Amino acid sequence: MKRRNLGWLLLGSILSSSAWADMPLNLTQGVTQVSRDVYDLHMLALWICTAIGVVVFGAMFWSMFFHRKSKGAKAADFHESTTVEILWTAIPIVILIGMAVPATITLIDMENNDDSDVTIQITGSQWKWHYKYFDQDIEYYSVLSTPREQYENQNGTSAKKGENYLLEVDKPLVIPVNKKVRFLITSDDVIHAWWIPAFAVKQDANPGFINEAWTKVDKPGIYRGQCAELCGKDHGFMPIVVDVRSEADYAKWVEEQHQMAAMAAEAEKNSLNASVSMDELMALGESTYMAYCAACHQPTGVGVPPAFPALKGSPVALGDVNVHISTVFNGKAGTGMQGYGKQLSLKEIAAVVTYERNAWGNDTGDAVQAADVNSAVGGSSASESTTEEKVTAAVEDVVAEVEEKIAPAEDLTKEYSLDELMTMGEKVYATSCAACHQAAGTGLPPAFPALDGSAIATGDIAVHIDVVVNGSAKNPAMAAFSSNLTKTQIAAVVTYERNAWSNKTGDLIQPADVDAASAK
Amino acid sequence: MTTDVLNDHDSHEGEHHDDHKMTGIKRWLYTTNHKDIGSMYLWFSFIMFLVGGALAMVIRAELFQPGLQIVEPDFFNQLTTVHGLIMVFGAIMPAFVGFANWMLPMMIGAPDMALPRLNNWSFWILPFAFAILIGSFFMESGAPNFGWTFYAPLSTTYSNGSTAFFVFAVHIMGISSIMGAINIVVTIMNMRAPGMTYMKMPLFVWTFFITAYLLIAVMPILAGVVTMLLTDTYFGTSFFDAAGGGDPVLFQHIFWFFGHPEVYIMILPAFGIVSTIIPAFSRKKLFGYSSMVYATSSIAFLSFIVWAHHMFTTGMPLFGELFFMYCTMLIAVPTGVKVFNWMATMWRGSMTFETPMLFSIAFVILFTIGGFSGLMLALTPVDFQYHDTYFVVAHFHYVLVTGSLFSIFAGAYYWLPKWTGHMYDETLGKVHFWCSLISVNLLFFPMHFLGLAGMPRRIPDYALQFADFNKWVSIGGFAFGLSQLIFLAVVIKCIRGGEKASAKPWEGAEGLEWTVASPAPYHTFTTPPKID
Repeated sequence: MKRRNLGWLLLGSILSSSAWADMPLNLTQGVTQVSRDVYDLHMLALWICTAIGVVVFGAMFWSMFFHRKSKGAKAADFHESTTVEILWTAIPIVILIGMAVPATITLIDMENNDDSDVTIQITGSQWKWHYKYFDQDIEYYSVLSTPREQYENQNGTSAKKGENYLLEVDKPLVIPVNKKVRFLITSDDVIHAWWIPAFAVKQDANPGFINEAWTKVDKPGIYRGQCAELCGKDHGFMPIVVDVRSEADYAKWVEEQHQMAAMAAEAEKNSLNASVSMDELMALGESTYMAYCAACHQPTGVGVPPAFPALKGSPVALGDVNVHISTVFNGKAGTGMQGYGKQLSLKEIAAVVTYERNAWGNDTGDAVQAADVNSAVGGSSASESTTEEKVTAAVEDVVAEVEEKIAPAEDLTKEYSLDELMTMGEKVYATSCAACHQAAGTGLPPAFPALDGSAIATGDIAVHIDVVVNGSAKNPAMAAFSSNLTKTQIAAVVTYERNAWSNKTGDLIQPADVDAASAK
Repeated sequence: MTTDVLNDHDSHEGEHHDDHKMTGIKRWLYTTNHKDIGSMYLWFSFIMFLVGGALAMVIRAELFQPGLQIVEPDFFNQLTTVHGLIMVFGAIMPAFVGFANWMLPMMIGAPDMALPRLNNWSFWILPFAFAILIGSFFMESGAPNFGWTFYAPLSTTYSNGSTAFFVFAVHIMGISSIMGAINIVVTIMNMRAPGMTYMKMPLFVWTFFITAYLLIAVMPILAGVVTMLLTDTYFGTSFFDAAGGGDPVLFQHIFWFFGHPEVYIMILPAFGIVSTIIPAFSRKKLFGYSSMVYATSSIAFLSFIVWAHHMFTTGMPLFGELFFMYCTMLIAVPTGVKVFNWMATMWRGSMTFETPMLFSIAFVILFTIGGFSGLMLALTPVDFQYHDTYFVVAHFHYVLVTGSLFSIFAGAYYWLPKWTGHMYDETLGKVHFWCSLISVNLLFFPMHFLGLAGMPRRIPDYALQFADFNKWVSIGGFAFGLSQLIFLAVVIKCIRGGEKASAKPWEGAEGLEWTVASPAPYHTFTTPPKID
């Protein structure tokens, strides 16, 4: 009786499908020119394959029906024909060329990362995305926002799943419509892949390397995607949501972000002087723990050993509180434990450490305050600096003094000859620039552009000096050299770059020029 | 053996009742007989097929509906990883080596494989490799959970501690494959019957010959890359770690330089099997024998210069993407030639549709569908959309399951009478075929749509829009899995009895193996036959 009920239940659940959203059967056309080109290419390939299939399978079924022994078919005895072989080698080649041409054109377009309006660095980590806007000084993490009880159904529970189940995040990436947005994609740990089907953008996030991709969306809206490269346990739980807004809305959003950042900084400062009650710490700690820690260490604190150790009864959670704080703040190298210093506020870290030290029978009774966290990790804004910090500061002072003495005072008024500048510039270039831009100025495009014949090295001098002094806003790989090189060295290297290889501009840049330019 | 005139070329030895077989377990442990070793390979691969299939059943049960009902995400990753490794290295590859052992000596008129002791050794290390791999499920670390492609650094710095056992198991599998391949090459080069020139060899022999070369070329690369993985994980090297000057993408280049020829290692022998069966049941010679040989060789050559099409999204330069796209598209040409030749072989034949032929025809059609999706995947811009989605899962299951696996079934039905001396139960065979055909398409065809709609592969849970299709896919999966028990029943029934098979039970069959009695005597061709 019971078994029969189960059978009906199964059958019912198979047939009752209309409750769930309908799935598109074909590739999305998307909302960018590139995604539409890709869709067209997909349809072209699909139709060609279908046509070939109809012919080949048609011929096979024809012989299966008419050339069968039961119908009295006698076998013919032909078994080779060079003409036919040549024919069915040549025709596919022609068809392939017909597909390769549009594919090549689309690909060249996709790989053109030049002239972007907005640049965003995307960093994958287990299992969340971090977005950093280069032009606006905005950065934040984006984490799955589907509640755990919706997907953790192992005990037979099943909370109703929301409309965007597993495809929703706390803070989506926001980009403006009709602007070329360039993504610089990298990773903090394993390889992830950032994918939005509607943009036809999928690019691996490789730890230690930066990949480029771009998009230009022509319709505002919310677009969803997922991590597309197996990245460990919660690979299926790190979605991507992009909120494309009109230019005005985007500007408004940027403004809001700046205000919120200011408020958060203020709150952070206040939290240092505040003493929060144990109950409040535990409540905040529990919610923070569930959002950030429970995926690995489990809601019950038992972890998934050996990769994700238990916290319940662990030496870290019961031992020295400073070690505990430091592990949460800085992470643990060589393991999956990432540093949360950038992701959580001091108050949240204090709360989560308190929670871990008092939940699941870890009854240490410790109540950790934001100020404790700050002092344990050596925060600079702490009201009382620790001994260690004082020592560090003292050492830094001494080093600075010594450096000043060793480094000869720079004479900014001195005028150098072209030969002097070129000789010095070549040395500076070899030590500070050639690793990326290469000794021959050819660079390693696209991340490290060529200088030989480049727009910067042959164009406006002020722009050139500015890039060397302050780095590039668009390309994070181009660092600011103002703190590494003296003004004389910068003058020399800029002169060198403008006159070496085929860049015979004849420009002479003196230290005073650099001084004047960097004063602006 | 009294009336079998076809067998008379070795009957003058007279004494072939005395096979010098040991008895009991020792016969199997110490055997150097190619038929015994072939049988052991085939049984081993079938057992591995059932184990790998059982893992797939758990995967499909978890994916039956949205939410995590049965397994934890980390265990899910272990399931997909070990499923892939077992099916590739434990089911498909040893099955083909089993065919090679059984059939190659009989097809070229040789008494045995050239290196019989090596043959014994290459089989008997395999069970240990898989005992280690499967045993890791029961260790504290758990089984490998980084995908069968084991990309660094997920398999190094961030591994769950199973890396060492995984590497050891892969090393043993690799050694076994290399030894098996050397044996095949040496046998084919040195032991062909007088008069059998290379261009007179059956196409089956040709495909195994080329496959063996591919194995010798790429298995050492696999050994190299897993060793680098091992030292990165445990001995502080940084081959794949940017912090120490390495590059995680380097891992993928080395892996796929092995991995792409590997996929042809799993399909070329299948071409050989169906190229034997289709002419037999069309009662017509294989169309374009020499073009088939050249096409197989071209595919083997091209397999070495297309590896990076697995890596279009890793951030390759435009030039690299174009190069690998063009080379990959080029593979469609020799593959197309093969399909056209099979079509022409059937054309104006006199066809019958016994189970081996049914599986072979299904192979040609469904493998071609896998070829079509392969061609679509070759187009780099579209690959950005398909890559790492269920579209890819559909693609490689069409070429591996309805491709390689179906050819293995076809070959097994075709030669079972020769192996056992009995005809298999044709009705049950056909039931097995139709159940497999319908369920396998229910299992894998909807995956194309799931992929196009945006479902990534290797996820234990999915968005609600994918729910309906996953349900049907899971039902197809369970049905396909159960259907394989029919095959087991057919084989056991056939071994235990049934209608006596004649030396050549198939009217249109050609080849030396049909000139010896059924079941094939323990020793065949102790005096080589003469080929004109």
